[in-house]
Amino acid sequence: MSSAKSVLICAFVLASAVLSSEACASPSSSSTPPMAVNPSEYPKLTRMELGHIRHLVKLAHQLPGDWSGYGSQWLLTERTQQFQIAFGAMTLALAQHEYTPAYRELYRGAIEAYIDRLQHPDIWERWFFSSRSGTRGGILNDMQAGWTDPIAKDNIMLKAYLLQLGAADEMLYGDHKYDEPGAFTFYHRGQGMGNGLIKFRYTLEDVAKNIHQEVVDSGYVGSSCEPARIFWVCQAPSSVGFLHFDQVHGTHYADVLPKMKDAWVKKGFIDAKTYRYAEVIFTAWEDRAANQRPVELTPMDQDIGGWAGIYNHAWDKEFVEAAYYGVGGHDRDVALNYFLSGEYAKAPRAADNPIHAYDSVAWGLFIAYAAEVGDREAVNKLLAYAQRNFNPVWENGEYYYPRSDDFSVDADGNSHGVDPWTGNVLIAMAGLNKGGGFYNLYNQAWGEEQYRQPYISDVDALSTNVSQAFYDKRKDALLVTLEPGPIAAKKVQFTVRQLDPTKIYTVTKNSKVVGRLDRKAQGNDEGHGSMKWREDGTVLVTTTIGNPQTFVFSASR
Amino acid sequence: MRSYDSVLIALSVCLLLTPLSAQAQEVSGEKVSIEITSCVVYSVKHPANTYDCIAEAKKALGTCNEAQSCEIPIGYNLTSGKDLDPGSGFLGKQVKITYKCGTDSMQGGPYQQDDHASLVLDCSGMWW
Repeated sequence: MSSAKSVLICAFVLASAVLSSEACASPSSSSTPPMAVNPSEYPKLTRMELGHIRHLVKLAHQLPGDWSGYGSQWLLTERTQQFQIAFGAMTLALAQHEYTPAYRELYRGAIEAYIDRLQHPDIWERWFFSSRSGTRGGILNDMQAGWTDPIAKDNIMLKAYLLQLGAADEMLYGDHKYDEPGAFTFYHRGQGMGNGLIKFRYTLEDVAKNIHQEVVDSGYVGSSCEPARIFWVCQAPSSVGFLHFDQVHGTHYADVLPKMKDAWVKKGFIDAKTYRYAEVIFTAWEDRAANQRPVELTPMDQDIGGWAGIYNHAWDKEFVEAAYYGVGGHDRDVALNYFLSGEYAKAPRAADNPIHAYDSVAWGLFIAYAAEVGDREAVNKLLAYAQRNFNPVWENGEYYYPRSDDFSVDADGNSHGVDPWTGNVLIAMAGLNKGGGFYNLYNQAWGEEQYRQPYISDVDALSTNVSQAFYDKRKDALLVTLEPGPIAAKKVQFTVRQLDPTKIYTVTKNSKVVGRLDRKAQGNDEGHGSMKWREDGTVLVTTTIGNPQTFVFSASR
Repeated sequence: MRSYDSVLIALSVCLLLTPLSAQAQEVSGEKVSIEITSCVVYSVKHPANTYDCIAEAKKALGTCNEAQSCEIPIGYNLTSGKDLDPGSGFLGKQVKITYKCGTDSMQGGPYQQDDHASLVLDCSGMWW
């Protein structure tokens, strides 16, 4: 080899090395391209599901005291708004957790508005009637003076939901707002009745402690609904509330759950072999652990049994699934036939007449229970029944099944009657829960890692539906799909928060690369002005909204 | 007969104007302060078992800086943290506070002694 040739080769090698090292130093060319993100592999809300969510959000934000759409034929002493509120909020919590974890403001606003509604006097003041108790159920010889504080003693039908919703909110959003003094405040201003103005203030922990103590004091049977009446189904919301509370606060209130189940089995209130249970246990007036008397044992998915199963699935999965099906699947088949054949609408209970609405609630609780345990066959049949008979409506982008008191049954078993709890909430809950949604909500709790992930905000909910909002940690990519909302708009904006300013993001819109976001570098291609880094480190995105628009913000690795 | 009618009319007018005068005081800016005249915690089963809580109630009132409406916590703060009737539970003890708004006598309670409850004593004139 000539020396000239050697020099040339050396020069080439050196130049290559230099160029190569420069390439490594350049962030634009050194980083590995982002991993491919296929939107169809991620959860997505359908048009109907978005309609259900819109309806639940609207019900949450009605003005205080406006109960339009909540009115039920089921005239339980406390009425049923509190249950619609609570189940509505938990449906939104499920959707938040399962479908759009990276889009929170809509869900959080509604869940917290529902919690506010639980503190409205229309909801809690009726407790005063129930607290007086009386001769029904053989508890007393006459009504008592009663008490006003809705949390202090009994009334698990309210306080369980404060615990469940408050703890879910704290788990989802990492904010301890319900730990503040007076987080739950009940102000009795009664003019026609009462011994003067009085306020009751509780924190979330006060409520958790109170319920826990009542469970312990009852010999692990539970906290009473009305005085001296302990219902299995009423324990379920507070039981799962303990799970979230413990996750957020590091406490161990949920340790009572297996003890409660054991107590019910040992005392014969649950037959764990046949999956029969006593819907209610009567107790002594002065001591909830004394003189406990169960009613007749019935299948756990009959009547309102689903009320418990929907939530207890989170901490007692195998048993709850087994109880849903019953021995050899018998109980599930009987219940499903009962609700599909119209038999449920033929069986009003004389004691509470008119009570058809109660049977519609049982219908709704069963479909929500079937959804949670993953019985898609039953859910699909029941949803088809609802579509055929319950006259669903679209209204301002909301989708729901309006109340109907027509519980007549035709020769084919079709009945059109719907209670609002079922039509507003429970069918939506069943539709959104693809199986184990509540199990996931309680067993895959969010924490600091989720709170720090990228998400979107400042979405105009009138013009925009968010059908996908998911941050994929493995691919370091944020996926967002926007769809037109009920109010037409040509262009909309949203904000992307918590992108890492040290990373470069490739942005695709409907699978086409529209730009790159590089906080550190100058002269970014930011999608021809459709994306803009702002001083506060967030990114403002502008887009047309005539059709669904899917964005992916993928970090280079 | 005529003088009897006049007395009756005058009496009726007085009765009608009594609450209005209190509201008029408020409207005119004349402040009507709260004066606690009694506070008692008592056992429901053993009514003779009582605790005079006027000192504790007045102490709580003092934190309101002479406001016309004041919240008085009615929990165990009123009995120096002691349970007047141990074992009687939430329903076992009650609290009653009497107070004056100017010359008008008012009463808050009885309500259960409750660490989460506050009686709102109110002299703002909206006491109907």
